[in-house]
Amino acid sequence: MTGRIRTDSALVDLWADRAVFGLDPDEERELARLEGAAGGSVDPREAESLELAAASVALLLASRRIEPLPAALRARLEGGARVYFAARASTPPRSEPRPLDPVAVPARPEPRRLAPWAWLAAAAAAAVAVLGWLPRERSSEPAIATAAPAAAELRAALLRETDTLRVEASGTDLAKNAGGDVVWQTRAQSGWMRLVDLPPNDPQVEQYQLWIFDEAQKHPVDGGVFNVTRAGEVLVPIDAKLRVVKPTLFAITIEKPGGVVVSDRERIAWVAKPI
Amino acid sequence: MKTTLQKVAAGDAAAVQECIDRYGGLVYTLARRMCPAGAEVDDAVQEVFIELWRKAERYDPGIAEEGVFVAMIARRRLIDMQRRLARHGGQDELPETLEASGTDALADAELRDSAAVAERAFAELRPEQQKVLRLAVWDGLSHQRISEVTGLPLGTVKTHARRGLHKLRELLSPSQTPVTGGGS
Repeated sequence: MTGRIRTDSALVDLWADRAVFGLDPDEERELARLEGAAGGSVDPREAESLELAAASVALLLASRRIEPLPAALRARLEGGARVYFAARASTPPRSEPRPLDPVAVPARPEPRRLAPWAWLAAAAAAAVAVLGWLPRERSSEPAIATAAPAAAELRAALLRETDTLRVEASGTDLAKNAGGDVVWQTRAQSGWMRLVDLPPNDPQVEQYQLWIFDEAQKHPVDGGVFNVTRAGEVLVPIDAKLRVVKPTLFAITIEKPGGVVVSDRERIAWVAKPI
Repeated sequence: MKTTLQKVAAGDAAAVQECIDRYGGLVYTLARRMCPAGAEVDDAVQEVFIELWRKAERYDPGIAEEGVFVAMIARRRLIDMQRRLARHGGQDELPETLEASGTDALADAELRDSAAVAERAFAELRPEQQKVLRLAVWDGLSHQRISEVTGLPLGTVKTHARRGLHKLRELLSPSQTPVTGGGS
């Protein structure tokens, strides 16, 4: 574990409290504010080293009274692992850097509830999509068709949580016919954009980039760079680079390939504003 | 030589079995201990393992023992479940007993060594730091409940927890921790 200590004691105290006790929503907001104020000087390994210290206590105490894994649960884990890794292995790795992948949405109703294995497969496919294991250029239908149900199911699962935010979106003058919505859950720090009729981009010329305006952050948070490779409806996972506490606006800008660190906000194509 | 999680991250399907064999009992024990009312332990264990497979590539043997990393992922997930259910009317009660009944000793030698390293570090903490950390991490008590149970002021509870945690981090840093293999 790292042994470096930050000088910002309030921040370190909250990291320690989170590692040992967990934080309540007010403390979470304060932590995000402090992290935001610290900006790029925050090293996530510092916070993780405290989590690891707390975990060492858990390991120590658990080791004194370990309970064997029940056979039925072991079988369930093994079955789940087969599904997960089969899904992962079905898509080849690719090289860095990579934008987030939009996933075309099939025209079918979202399921009300996932079967256990469907959830596992969805989680695996989401990992594949989020980690960028899907091919960057999707010229063929099958790759999209394989991943789309998983993305839709994950989005639907997020929507079933009572603390998930859903915001309607609309295109600007740059994408007048575009629409869709944003689904975001602060607790999980994850979400999806459902983009409808956002014009496909040429990745060699420009790319889309999501920005999340957060009440606790001075500057908008980079939500990820992505391409839209086809017309219609696509799902794109949100990849917030910093912790988001209370989003006040989601905006997609058009930027140079690879995205930018600071946007001039001159080409905003799509916005979703929570009420 | 790659660790179990490094092999999992590389897509080695056989390592997944090894991971379940090695850490299944640990995760199950933590889930049994921390799983909030209203949640299924089996579901929690499964969620932890999915998370573990997704996060396996982030494991760095130079930073922490693998068992500690696994325990961290498990705690994150389980604490998240606790908060989710508390928000939906779950409970945060004092366990009937602060000492769980013991069952099997750790069968895995490597994990046993990791626990021994943690135990040596934990033993160096002051008794009140040990007590607060045990009540928080193992018994899952909030700082308010620990204050009530121990009679310590709230601020003192937090101070013991924070100082104890920093001390542990220092003791467990790679420069302080010998490579495992010699047991305790």
